[in-house]
Amino acid sequence: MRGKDVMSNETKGRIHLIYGILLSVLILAVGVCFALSCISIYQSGASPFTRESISTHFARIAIPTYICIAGVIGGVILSLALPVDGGKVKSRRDPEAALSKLAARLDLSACDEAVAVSIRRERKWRRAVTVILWVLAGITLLPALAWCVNPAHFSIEDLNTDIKTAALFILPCAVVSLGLLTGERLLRHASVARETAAVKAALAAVKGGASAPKNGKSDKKNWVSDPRFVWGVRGAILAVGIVFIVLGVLNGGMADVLGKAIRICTECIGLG
Amino acid sequence: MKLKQWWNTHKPTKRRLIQLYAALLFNANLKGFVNGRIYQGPVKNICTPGLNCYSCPGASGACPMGALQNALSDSGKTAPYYVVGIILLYGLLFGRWICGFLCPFGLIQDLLHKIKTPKLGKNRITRVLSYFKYVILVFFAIIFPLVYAGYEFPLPGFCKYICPAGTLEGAVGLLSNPENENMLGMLGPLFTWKFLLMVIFLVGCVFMYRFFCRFFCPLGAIYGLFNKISLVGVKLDKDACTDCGLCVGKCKMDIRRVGDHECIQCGECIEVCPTGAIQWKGPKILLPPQAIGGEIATKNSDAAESDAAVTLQKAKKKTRIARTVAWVLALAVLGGALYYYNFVDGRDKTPSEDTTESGDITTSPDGETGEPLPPRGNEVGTLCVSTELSLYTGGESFAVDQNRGKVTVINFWGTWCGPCIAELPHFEEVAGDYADTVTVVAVHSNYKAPTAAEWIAKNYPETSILFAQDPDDGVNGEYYTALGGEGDFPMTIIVDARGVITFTRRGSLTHDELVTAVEEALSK
Repeated sequence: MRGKDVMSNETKGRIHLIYGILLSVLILAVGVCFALSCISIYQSGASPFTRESISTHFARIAIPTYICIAGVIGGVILSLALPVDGGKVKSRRDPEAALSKLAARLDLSACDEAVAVSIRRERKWRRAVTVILWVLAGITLLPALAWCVNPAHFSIEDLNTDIKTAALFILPCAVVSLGLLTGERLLRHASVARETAAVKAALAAVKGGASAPKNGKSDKKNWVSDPRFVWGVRGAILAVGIVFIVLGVLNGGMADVLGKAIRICTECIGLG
Repeated sequence: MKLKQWWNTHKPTKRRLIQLYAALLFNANLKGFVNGRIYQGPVKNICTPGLNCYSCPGASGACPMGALQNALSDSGKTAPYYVVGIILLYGLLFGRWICGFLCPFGLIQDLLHKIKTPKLGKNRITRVLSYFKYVILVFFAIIFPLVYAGYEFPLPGFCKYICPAGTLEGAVGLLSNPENENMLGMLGPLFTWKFLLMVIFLVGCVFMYRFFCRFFCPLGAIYGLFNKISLVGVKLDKDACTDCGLCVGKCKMDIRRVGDHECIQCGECIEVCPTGAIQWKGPKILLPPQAIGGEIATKNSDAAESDAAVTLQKAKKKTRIARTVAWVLALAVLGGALYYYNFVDGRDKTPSEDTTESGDITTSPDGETGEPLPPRGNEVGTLCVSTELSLYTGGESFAVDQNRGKVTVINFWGTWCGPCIAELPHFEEVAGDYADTVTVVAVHSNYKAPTAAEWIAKNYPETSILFAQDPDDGVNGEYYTALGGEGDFPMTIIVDARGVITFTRRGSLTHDELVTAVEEALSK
């Protein structure tokens, strides 16, 4: 009897899930072990380090690491022994794209005045939310920018501390900025849902023939997607790129790249 | 049977083959993994398109992100035209197709994500978080290098504090080789931080698709800006699109629509599009025949079916020929690269070979003191190789052999090397404190030597250090290579009063470490 007859896809999926959860725990544990080993090596203060001193620390996590590797190989064997159907791809429609197509079929002037006003108000509100929150997100980053372009905050003597201070200043600004953008996404999504419902209702109301539905495509000319514009931009970038490379070869920029690339950049790789 | 079925569903896709090909091509210096040295030939002035650390032993080219930061650090002297020009051209040609097909670190992330664990999907929050990479780009890759350029201090902020590709390919790649055991001496808090970050990124990639690419990679952020105009990648026919959302559902990146700045142009959405609205950009000869067939069918809806079939057959034949030629060319390029890097260009030969070949280096033992001295060499316990160095400050020339009776501290540095400049004050302090018994010589690598005199005059107008110039050998400097340098700066060697090496360090030194090493040399 063939395997697929013995076990249903759901059962196989459950087995995979349980195995996957166990493997996840193992991978996370090994990751934490690696991190702790690295910290303990540093805190041991055995500088300058030797291969022996480092091996001693990492030897402690050898067994979990081997188990983890075996678990990964086990996952491959499991997928071979109990293959699961991938399932159908889930659709993720962009509500805004759907709304714009829907809205293109609606002639607002032919709608009920109150409905048209509410739809227009929703659009205005959405635009305002987007502009205000994007501007606020940008403004939030300004203090970080101002901090970082001020040379007084940086010195060569205590470089790492200065960068750490700067990063600690940048991070909250970035978090607030990204938080504002998240808010913008959520508010926008809610607004799109409201307008979609209103447009659908309006379309249903005008089905009698008051509003002649359009073909669903916007007649508005989008100059950014105009091939001539795109090719113009491409040509300009190509020209600038070539000119820059020639200038770079002439001003020694290419030699500088070579100079840096043929030496081991100890700070680039984190050695210090 | 099961194995065959498994193979059919899991065999490497064309994309994976191209990724492997690119990873091998950009790391063609395979002998570097064996001898633990990086490639130092002239071809390394070309930037590879993806994130591939140039301190990786296998790296055949320069990393565009590292090169950009260093060029910005140097922008006070040289405008960064070259790197910016290269990035513009890569962006124009490929956009984020580079992330999907050519980036070696992208391949590592893809492979890690294959591990069978439950995955964290994308949502509106991750979409917003994907903007974080622009914060990294602006602050760490642009502003920090520019701010420190004002101090004439090179600081590649992203490389130094964040880049996991540098830690994995460069640091771990070098440190895991027994030949580089002395590099372990450099490890400190910075490496601990970067190692922790690397572990977080790698573990993150197991659970989230392209965890580093999506939220942190500044190179992807730059290339994303070119996605709309890049010549290679996927394109969406808006007229044929029904907004079914299957493409976005299939995609694991934080895209809103196909081809936007988050799209890595992997093309996986092409197969799920029910209307064929998503296609590859590019000349028709490179497109798969079914794409051309679809186009023909659309355009010639009135034409006879047999004509369409003939045209499709012709298109298939052309495509097959083009593909064969492309693969043959690609394999020839790879074969050529492997041969060149591993057998032809031998610039990264061992220091001992360089020492014996160098005509200017004094290699005969000196018996001035009458005591039996060890043979010449560059390791602890050997008699230090000596050569006459011309000085920027404090006299005409200097040689270790002329300084017998005093301890000599030889520090190899460069104005272009951030850690070198950062540790120079320690040497200045030691040179002042031990003026009677110790001579400190800071030997500048020949690279950009014309600017060194100016830099020294500006930053060390009155100094106890003897600033010397290393004779040019076309790479790092003759004396540096003779004393065992392999491209890593700074390097410090301490020689006792008899001329015997008592201490070597490839990498930075703290003040305390320097003083301890000097005291030890004085006690001999």
